[in-house]
Amino acid sequence: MQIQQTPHKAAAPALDPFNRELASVPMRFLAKDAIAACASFRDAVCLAWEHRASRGMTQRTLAELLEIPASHMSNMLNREGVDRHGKPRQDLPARSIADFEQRVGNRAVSQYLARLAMLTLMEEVITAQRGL
Amino acid sequence: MTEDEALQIGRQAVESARQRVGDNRTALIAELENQTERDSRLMEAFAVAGHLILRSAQEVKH
Repeated sequence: MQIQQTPHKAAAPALDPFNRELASVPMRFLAKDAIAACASFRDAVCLAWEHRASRGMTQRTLAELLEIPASHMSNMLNREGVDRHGKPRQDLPARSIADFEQRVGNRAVSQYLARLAMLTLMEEVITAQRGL
Repeated sequence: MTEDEALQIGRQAVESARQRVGDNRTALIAELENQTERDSRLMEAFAVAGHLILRSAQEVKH
Protein backbone atom coordinates (compact mmCIF):
# COMPACT_ATOMS: atom_id res chain seq x y z
CA MET A 1 0.00 0.00 0.00
CA GLN A 2 1.32 3.39 -0.98
CA ILE A 3 1.09 6.30 1.43
CA GLN A 4 0.57 9.72 -0.10
CA GLN A 5 2.54 12.47 1.63
CA THR A 6 1.47 16.08 1.61
CA PRO A 7 4.07 18.40 0.02
CA HIS A 8 4.83 19.85 3.46
CA LYS A 9 5.44 16.44 5.06
CA ALA A 10 7.46 15.30 2.10
CA ALA A 11 9.72 18.32 2.55
CA ALA A 12 10.19 17.73 6.28
CA PRO A 13 13.50 15.79 6.16
CA ALA A 14 15.18 18.71 4.37
CA LEU A 15 14.18 20.98 7.26
CA ASP A 16 15.75 18.79 9.91
CA PRO A 17 19.01 20.77 10.15
CA PHE A 18 17.00 23.90 11.02
CA ASN A 19 14.87 22.02 13.54
CA ARG A 20 17.99 20.61 15.22
CA GLU A 21 19.62 24.03 15.19
CA LEU A 22 16.48 25.55 16.70
CA ALA A 23 16.90 23.56 19.90
CA SER A 24 20.46 24.77 20.43
CA VAL A 25 20.12 28.47 19.53
CA PRO A 26 19.29 30.81 22.44
CA MET A 27 16.79 33.60 21.75
CA ARG A 28 18.51 36.96 21.39
CA PHE A 29 17.28 40.46 22.12
CA LEU A 30 18.27 43.12 19.59
CA ALA A 31 19.60 46.59 20.44
CA LYS A 32 17.08 49.09 21.81
CA ASP A 33 18.00 51.66 19.15
CA ALA A 34 17.32 49.21 16.32
CA ILE A 35 13.86 48.49 17.75
CA ALA A 36 13.11 52.20 18.26
CA ALA A 37 14.01 52.81 14.59
CA CYS A 38 11.23 50.45 13.43
CA ALA A 39 8.34 52.58 12.15
CA SER A 40 5.97 49.63 11.74
CA PHE A 41 5.30 46.01 12.61
CA ARG A 42 6.53 45.15 9.11
CA ASP A 43 9.87 46.86 9.82
CA ALA A 44 10.25 44.81 13.02
CA VAL A 45 9.51 41.55 11.19
CA CYS A 46 12.09 42.44 8.51
CA LEU A 47 14.64 43.43 11.17
CA ALA A 48 14.14 40.10 12.95
CA TRP A 49 14.58 38.27 9.64
CA GLU A 50 17.75 40.21 8.77
CA HIS A 51 19.22 39.20 12.16
CA ARG A 52 18.19 35.53 11.91
CA ALA A 53 20.46 33.13 13.74
CA SER A 54 20.75 30.79 10.74
CA ARG A 55 22.19 32.89 7.93
CA GLY A 56 21.64 29.98 5.57
CA MET A 57 17.89 29.93 6.12
CA THR A 58 15.99 31.07 3.04
CA GLN A 59 12.54 32.67 2.93
CA ARG A 60 11.25 29.49 1.34
CA THR A 61 12.56 27.37 4.22
CA LEU A 62 11.03 29.72 6.77
CA ALA A 63 7.72 29.57 4.89
CA GLU A 64 7.77 25.77 5.03
CA LEU A 65 8.65 25.77 8.73
CA LEU A 66 5.80 28.17 9.51
CA GLU A 67 3.42 26.43 7.11
CA ILE A 68 2.81 29.67 5.25
CA PRO A 69 2.75 29.78 1.40
CA ALA A 70 6.15 30.98 0.11
CA SER A 71 4.60 33.85 -1.87
CA HIS A 72 2.88 35.13 1.29
CA MET A 73 6.13 34.83 3.25
CA SER A 74 7.91 36.89 0.60
CA ASN A 75 5.27 39.61 1.01
CA MET A 76 5.58 39.51 4.80
CA LEU A 77 9.37 39.97 4.60
CA ASN A 78 9.22 42.92 2.21
CA ARG A 79 9.93 46.34 3.73
CA GLU A 80 7.46 47.97 1.35
CA GLY A 81 3.93 47.78 2.71
CA VAL A 82 2.35 47.92 -0.77
CA ASP A 83 3.26 46.19 -4.03
CA ARG A 84 3.96 47.92 -7.37
CA HIS A 85 0.21 48.01 -8.09
CA GLY A 86 -0.47 49.78 -4.82
CA LYS A 87 -2.01 46.69 -3.25
CA PRO A 88 -1.26 46.25 0.49
CA ARG A 89 1.08 43.35 1.26
CA GLN A 90 0.13 40.77 3.86
CA ASP A 91 1.55 41.10 7.37
CA LEU A 92 2.87 38.22 9.45
CA PRO A 93 -0.24 36.99 11.34
CA ALA A 94 -0.15 37.67 15.09
CA ARG A 95 -0.70 33.95 15.76
CA SER A 96 2.59 33.12 13.97
CA ILE A 97 4.83 35.48 15.94
CA ALA A 98 6.01 33.02 18.60
CA ASP A 99 6.89 30.41 15.99
CA PHE A 100 8.54 33.02 13.76
CA GLU A 101 10.71 34.23 16.65
CA GLN A 102 11.74 30.68 17.50
CA ARG A 103 12.78 30.12 13.90
CA VAL A 104 14.77 33.33 13.45
CA GLY A 105 16.25 33.10 16.97
CA ASN A 106 15.55 36.63 18.19
CA ARG A 107 12.82 38.59 19.99
CA ALA A 108 12.81 41.73 17.82
CA VAL A 109 9.08 41.46 17.06
CA SER A 110 8.13 41.07 20.73
CA GLN A 111 10.47 43.94 21.61
CA TYR A 112 8.74 46.11 19.00
CA LEU A 113 5.29 45.13 20.27
CA ALA A 114 6.32 45.87 23.87
CA ARG A 115 7.48 49.33 22.79
CA LEU A 116 4.28 49.87 20.80
CA ALA A 117 2.18 49.02 23.89
CA MET A 118 4.35 51.21 26.11
CA LEU A 119 3.88 54.22 23.78
CA THR A 120 0.14 53.52 23.32
CA LEU A 121 -0.51 53.22 27.07
CA MET A 122 1.62 56.30 27.72
CA GLU A 123 -0.50 58.41 25.37
CA GLU A 124 -3.68 56.93 26.85
CA VAL A 125 -2.64 57.82 30.41
CA ILE A 126 -1.51 61.35 29.46
CA THR A 127 -4.77 62.01 27.58
CA ALA A 128 -6.88 60.64 30.45
CA GLN A 129 -5.02 62.76 33.03
CA ARG A 130 -5.44 65.91 30.96
CA GLY A 131 -9.15 65.22 30.59
CA LEU A 132 -9.68 65.22 34.35
CA MET B 1 -0.39 36.65 32.55
CA THR B 2 -3.79 37.54 31.09
CA GLU B 3 -4.30 40.44 28.69
CA ASP B 4 -6.31 42.34 31.33
CA GLU B 5 -3.47 41.91 33.85
CA ALA B 6 -0.94 43.02 31.24
CA LEU B 7 -2.90 46.20 30.49
CA GLN B 8 -3.33 46.93 34.19
CA ILE B 9 0.40 46.44 34.93
CA GLY B 10 1.34 48.56 31.91
CA ARG B 11 -1.00 51.44 32.85
CA GLN B 12 0.19 51.39 36.46
CA ALA B 13 3.83 51.54 35.31
CA VAL B 14 3.07 54.52 33.08
CA GLU B 15 1.20 56.33 35.86
CA SER B 16 4.04 55.72 38.34
CA ALA B 17 6.62 56.91 35.81
CA ARG B 18 4.51 60.00 35.09
CA GLN B 19 4.40 60.86 38.79
CA ARG B 20 8.20 60.64 38.91
CA VAL B 21 9.15 62.51 35.72
CA GLY B 22 6.02 64.37 34.56
CA ASP B 23 4.42 64.53 31.10
CA ASN B 24 7.60 65.07 29.07
CA ARG B 25 7.43 62.23 26.55
CA THR B 26 11.19 61.84 26.10
CA ALA B 27 11.72 61.59 29.85
CA LEU B 28 8.75 59.25 30.23
CA ILE B 29 10.00 56.91 27.50
CA ALA B 30 13.51 56.82 29.02
CA GLU B 31 12.07 56.13 32.48
CA LEU B 32 9.80 53.36 31.19
CA GLU B 33 12.60 51.78 29.15
CA ASN B 34 14.85 51.70 32.20
CA GLN B 35 12.09 50.18 34.26
CA THR B 36 11.36 47.57 31.59
CA GLU B 37 15.02 46.55 31.47
CA ARG B 38 15.02 45.99 35.23
CA ASP B 39 11.61 44.31 35.51
CA SER B 40 11.00 41.26 33.32
CA ARG B 41 7.35 41.10 34.43
CA LEU B 42 6.78 44.62 33.10
CA MET B 43 8.51 43.67 29.85
CA GLU B 44 6.18 40.69 29.57
CA ALA B 45 3.15 42.88 30.33
CA PHE B 46 4.04 45.32 27.55
CA ALA B 47 4.73 42.45 25.12
CA VAL B 48 1.33 40.85 25.87
CA ALA B 49 -0.42 44.22 25.53
CA GLY B 50 1.42 44.86 22.24
CA HIS B 51 0.34 41.49 20.92
CA LEU B 52 -3.25 42.40 21.80
CA ILE B 53 -2.97 45.75 20.00
CA LEU B 54 -1.57 44.06 16.89
CA ARG B 55 -4.23 41.35 16.90
CA SER B 56 -6.99 43.94 17.16
CA ALA B 57 -5.48 45.89 14.24
CA GLN B 58 -5.17 42.76 12.10
CA GLU B 59 -8.74 41.69 12.90
CA VAL B 60 -10.05 45.11 11.81
CA LYS B 61 -8.17 44.75 8.48
CA HIS B 62 -9.85 41.42 7.65
